[in-house]
Amino acid sequence: LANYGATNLALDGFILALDGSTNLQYVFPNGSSLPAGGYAALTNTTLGFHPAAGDRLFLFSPARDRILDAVAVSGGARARYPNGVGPWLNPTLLTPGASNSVSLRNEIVINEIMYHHQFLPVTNGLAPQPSDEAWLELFNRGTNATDLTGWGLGGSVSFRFPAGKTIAPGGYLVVANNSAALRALYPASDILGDFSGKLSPNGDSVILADSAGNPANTVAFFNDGRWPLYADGRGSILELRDPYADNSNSQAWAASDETAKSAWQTYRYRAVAQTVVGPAQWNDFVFGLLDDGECLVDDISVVQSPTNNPIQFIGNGDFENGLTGWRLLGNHDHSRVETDPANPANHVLHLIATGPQEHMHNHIEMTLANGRSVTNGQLYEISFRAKWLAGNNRLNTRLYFDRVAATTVLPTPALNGTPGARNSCYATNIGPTFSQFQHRAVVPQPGVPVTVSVMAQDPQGVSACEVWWSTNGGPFAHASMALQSGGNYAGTIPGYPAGTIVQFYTRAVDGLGAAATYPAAGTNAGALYMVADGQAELNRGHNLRIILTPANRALLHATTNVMSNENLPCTVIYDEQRAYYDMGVRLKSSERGRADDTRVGFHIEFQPDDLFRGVHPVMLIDRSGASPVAANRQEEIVVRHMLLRAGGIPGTQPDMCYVIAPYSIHTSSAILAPRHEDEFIATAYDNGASGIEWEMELIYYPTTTNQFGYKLPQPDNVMGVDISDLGDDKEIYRYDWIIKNHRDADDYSGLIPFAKTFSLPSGPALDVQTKWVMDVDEWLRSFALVSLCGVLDGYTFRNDHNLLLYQRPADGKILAFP
Amino acid sequence: VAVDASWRCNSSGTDLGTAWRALGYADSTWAAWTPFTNAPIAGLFNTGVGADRVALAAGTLDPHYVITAAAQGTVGAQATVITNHSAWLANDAASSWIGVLNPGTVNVQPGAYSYRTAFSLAGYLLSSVELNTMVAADNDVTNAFLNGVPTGITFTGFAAFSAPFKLTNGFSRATNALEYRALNEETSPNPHGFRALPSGTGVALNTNSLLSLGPATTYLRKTFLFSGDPAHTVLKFNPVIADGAIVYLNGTEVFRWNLPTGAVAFATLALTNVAAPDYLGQMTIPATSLVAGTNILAVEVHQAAGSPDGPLFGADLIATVVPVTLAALPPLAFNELSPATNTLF
Repeated sequence: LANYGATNLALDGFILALDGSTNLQYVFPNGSSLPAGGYAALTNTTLGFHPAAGDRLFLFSPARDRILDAVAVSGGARARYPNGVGPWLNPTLLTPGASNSVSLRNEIVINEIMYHHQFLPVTNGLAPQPSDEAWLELFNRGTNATDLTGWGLGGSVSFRFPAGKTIAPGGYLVVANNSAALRALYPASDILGDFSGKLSPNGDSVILADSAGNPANTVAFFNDGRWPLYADGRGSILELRDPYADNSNSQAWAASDETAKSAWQTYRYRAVAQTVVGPAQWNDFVFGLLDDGECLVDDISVVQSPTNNPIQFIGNGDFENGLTGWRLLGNHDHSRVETDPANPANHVLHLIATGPQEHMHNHIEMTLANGRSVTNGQLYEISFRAKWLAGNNRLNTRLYFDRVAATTVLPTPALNGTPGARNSCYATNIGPTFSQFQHRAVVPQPGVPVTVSVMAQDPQGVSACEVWWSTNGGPFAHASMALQSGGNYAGTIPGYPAGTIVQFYTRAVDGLGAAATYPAAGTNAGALYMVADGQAELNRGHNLRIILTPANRALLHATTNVMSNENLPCTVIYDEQRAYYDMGVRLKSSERGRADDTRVGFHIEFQPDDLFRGVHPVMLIDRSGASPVAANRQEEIVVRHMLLRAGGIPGTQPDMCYVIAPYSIHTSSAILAPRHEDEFIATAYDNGASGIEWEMELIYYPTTTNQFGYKLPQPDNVMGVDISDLGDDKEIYRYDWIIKNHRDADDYSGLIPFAKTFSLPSGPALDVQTKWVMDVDEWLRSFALVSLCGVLDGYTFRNDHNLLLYQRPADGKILAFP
Repeated sequence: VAVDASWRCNSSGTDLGTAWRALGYADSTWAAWTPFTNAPIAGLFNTGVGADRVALAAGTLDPHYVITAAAQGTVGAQATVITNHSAWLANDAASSWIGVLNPGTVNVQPGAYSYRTAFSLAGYLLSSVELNTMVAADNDVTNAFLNGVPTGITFTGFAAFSAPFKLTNGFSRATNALEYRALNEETSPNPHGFRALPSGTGVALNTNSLLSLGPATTYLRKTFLFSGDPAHTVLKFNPVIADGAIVYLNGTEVFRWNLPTGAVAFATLALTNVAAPDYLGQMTIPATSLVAGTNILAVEVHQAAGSPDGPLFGADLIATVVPVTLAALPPLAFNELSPATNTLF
């Protein structure tokens, strides 16, 4: 046993229990103790029992109400390393009563990971095809060749290196799931395989084990948040920036830079303007990417009657006047005009999308030049030049609302990453990396100082570590952080008055002078706390306190920004005890609800390596039941649970919570629920995560603008369409049935036949087709419950919205989630 | 424990000392007492029905709705039950359209038409009253005034009722006036009608169970089961008291109101007379004496000097679980295992 604490530990009454063929226990006698950092060796004679392989041992508190530790006994010797807290490893020798003896190798690092290849390029009009290409690259950062005899890969993949295989110092070795196929693509690289197992597209774990079976290198990677998103099936791969940095840490990794592999192309298409669904309120040109991504765009042109009487509808389509006339909205507002990398005399738009484009906001738009308007029945030609850079490659262009609409698939390079060669984002020294970042107290009392601590590490050592903070959006101050036992650094932020918003980050410098910050975005990051302000009400359900900087709080609720789907950095405090740093928050609700103090809700995105309750990437905080007539009763949750329990209709499990909102006027009880498209479908159905989900929604559209041309969310009009045959063009379905997942495939082939079925006349064909495209029983049960409960505002009652459609992978049938 | 729960009651006039507060005290001979009941508001009627709440024949006068504004017709007269226009939601057994002229196809002047109904809340705890109403009109309901105060209720439509509107304040213990204001649109005469489905509930004095004036102190006991963890529970308490009371949870005083501090005897009088008892408002009381299993809530209710009414007590007691915070584990762990030898396994 080890006492890994800093003080002497009295063992009186502690229990060591055996769970085996016979259950026995040993109770430590009064007077037993273990000094700080001390070890106690116990023999089977002392214990009175002899554990066998497969038995389990437990350490209980004297009252037997806490389990301190547990371990399964195996057939060989094992030891924790570091002592008391580390994983179980294979020791070089036994050291009962003393510090463990374990030898670890560290010269070989996992340097590049292809875990989720992008869709293969479309050919001959076929739907994009998934690729199973997966590989790992190892790099020898040592000064000697390493013999890999007896080494292997573990975690989610399995591979045993052949005897005698070596890696030279500074050398690379690739291990693939299909080594023959990868060698054909990269004939000059040293490639082994095939490994068995599969790397999850949501992130996974890979272990390189040495000949003793101990880990020589371990990487547990994720697909978003603090980890590079573009490596998740978006055309890049996961690359280690600095091979000498701690590669178990997200800060050491980046998405590969593939920009040099794509080329400019000119795109041109023609169509006759017609309104099938949607309003004709505005005369705008609109474009955006269907998901997170980046591309360069130039020379945008919209020409009416291109053949006979061409009239140009776009001004500043070449961006030589910067962003004049263009409106960058919501999750597209980080876009910027840059000098063309290929031509210093030219300027281009660097389009940056941090989420999917849509119709209300979250795209780039321009009012047509010279007051021109779109005329139904007229022919239009839309053209532009574009070059893919990263992420999503589907660029949607249209005239408001969805006239002359098309989604152009920008070509992406087929070969991604640099297997067997230096990484595209290689850096000689990225500075320290950080872990165990936290502040205490999580919600400090007024005037009480706060301790910030972090583990900072660097191959060259850490020469200085600081905490920086800003109160209520003011200038940043800083203080030194002192090295503590165990390698942590701790610093103090002074106490402040109740309600003060404190944003903070840490900064460390290594022995060569390279600096890094954590969270990485520093002054723009989402590490914050709020001095206790009396708003918490822990007896009203779980409390979720959302903290943003004052500037981001104002932006979140700014009239012309409420429809933004860009996640703003925030910290979420759960039950006033647990801080989730660097979360993303945006408003949730319709165009009417987001501008309404009584109804506005929140959409919170958690870090993939710090999911809410360990499983939920997104939590929705719904306050729509707080409208004046419902007196903040949030009664919808009753119906939701009736659907689940009485109706037997699968769905997420909503709970009540108490949201402490960025503005206290929005602090209230709310419904807390995960999204259907995350954990729910992944676990409720076979291969469920692969099923596509659409949200049936009304089209809310603004009718006024401010003096700068930015549309105001209210007043608005609204229109909808019943599920029906709208033709074969998915652009017509796109905004009434919003795709919620797998946007890289943008596949409406399951939805359109379903919608067309609803337009069939009564008769045998309708009967047959409904049974083919939908789970009729599930639909009937869903809408029986909806009708029974008198749900006022959903599909089949009043308005064609508030319905999720999910195509179940097992049989391709559509399910209804009211 | 809900406000309409039944209590064991002892108003014998005997001083019971302190033993009666304990869980094991024998109260089986005490009388059952249920001072409050959740009751519908009896005086609220749908439009177009009689005292039996059954729809009246078209052309008769609605006894519950008075015309208080009319672009055409007599202000102050009872509204007329009318046959619905074919475009309107059809009359049924529970309600009918009302207006100034029958049938609903008759054209009447455009403009404002208001309909007022009245109901009493005598005996109700006003803070518990909830009134729901659905409306329909040809053409608009522009507002509804409760005792002269606008509620903000608006609705346009005659083919279906509105969603329910809920009113929770602005009531009076005496007669309440609910006036619906409707508008017949357009500039020339056209059909007009109004229809409403008001209903409501509240906590009311149970007139069959009220205690008459008696001794200075009345004793009450109520057992309840609690299956949670008392260490992580908050007790929310919302009592109704006339005139003063001390509340004990498993023998420990947890709440006192309208009584002097310090020791209170059987003959101690409440500080003031409470003429119109109502909920005092939700508050937190100590949960330290709460136990898992059976608990006893014991109450001594004291009369004020000169009080004209008997004692009254009721309460909502709600237990809410709060998040658990665990202390850090002792830093003790298995560190090395050797199952291969005879001495050190």
